[in-house]
Amino acid sequence: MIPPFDAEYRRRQRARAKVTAWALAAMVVLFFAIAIVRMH
Amino acid sequence: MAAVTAPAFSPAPALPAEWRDFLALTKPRVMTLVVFTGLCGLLAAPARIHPVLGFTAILCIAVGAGACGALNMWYEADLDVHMKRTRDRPLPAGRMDRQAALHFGVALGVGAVAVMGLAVNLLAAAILAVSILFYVVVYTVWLKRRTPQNIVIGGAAGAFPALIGWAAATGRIDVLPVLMFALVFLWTPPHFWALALYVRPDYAAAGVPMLPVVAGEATTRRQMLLYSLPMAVAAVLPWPLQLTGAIYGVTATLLTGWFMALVLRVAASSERDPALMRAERQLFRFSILYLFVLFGALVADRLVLA
Repeated sequence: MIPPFDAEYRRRQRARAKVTAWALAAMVVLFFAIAIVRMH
Repeated sequence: MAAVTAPAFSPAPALPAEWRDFLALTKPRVMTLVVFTGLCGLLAAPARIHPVLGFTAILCIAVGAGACGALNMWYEADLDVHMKRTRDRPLPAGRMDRQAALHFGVALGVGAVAVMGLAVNLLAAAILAVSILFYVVVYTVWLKRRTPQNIVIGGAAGAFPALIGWAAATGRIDVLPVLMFALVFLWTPPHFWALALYVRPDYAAAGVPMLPVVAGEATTRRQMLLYSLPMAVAAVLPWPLQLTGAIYGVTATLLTGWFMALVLRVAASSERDPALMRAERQLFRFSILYLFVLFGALVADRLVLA
């Protein structure tokens, strides 16, 4: 069994990684949108 | 140049911070007002901007404000721990490593300025960079702990978003955004000192030289009136200068009259017990509504004119 401290540590790391991934995905979409607008 | 180091505080926590704590570092409530004034500056401008670029500009303003919040909390953790209002923030509550706050703030600031420069225009990016540096270096690090006029300086930082929004849309600066800048700048002292009057014991406990702590309540009340007078002029002036129409003119005249009535009541009061300062609380709450409605009216007016 994972000790409670380690489990909480991993949970926080996973939650942060998920939020970071979503933020990066949103930025990629935004950059594409900007690139398309600037090209026209 | 010597590196800026934050005043000593507490040991690092054992667990990594939650993402909610990073969000709290950006001071989302302050960001709301910043985004609103930035959006108003952008919408009040006579030039049209593509919605994607407009969204990007507002996002950069919001992220820049978030950077200011994070860097402010990084530097002020030692003060925040002493104040009831701030002691549950991620750093004083011991939920976050201080270096993480610094890195997060710097990354947000650099990212916001870079994207603004690349996607929108260089003038808007330059003003955004100046406003972040002004808030963090001049206000937070340099003056906040040294002068009771700290909030006046901080007000200038808060006044930038409208200017940035306008610059993002037009690529230049005109008289109207300068008046919007002056309005927020001169509005900040009466707004913030109204709060400082009734949370004075908190500031005294933290050792922040807020005007009511250093110069006393009578001086603070007088100075609030002193800043409100030019603020009233800046609020009403766009109408006689024909930069706006009657929608803004009438709204500004009525609301500024009300604002001045509340300021006069606070200036005339000699209440010393923070728990009984009703007029001060009323002025603080109304001042927030005042700025929101005034900027909203400005946008409505300009859209009708357009």
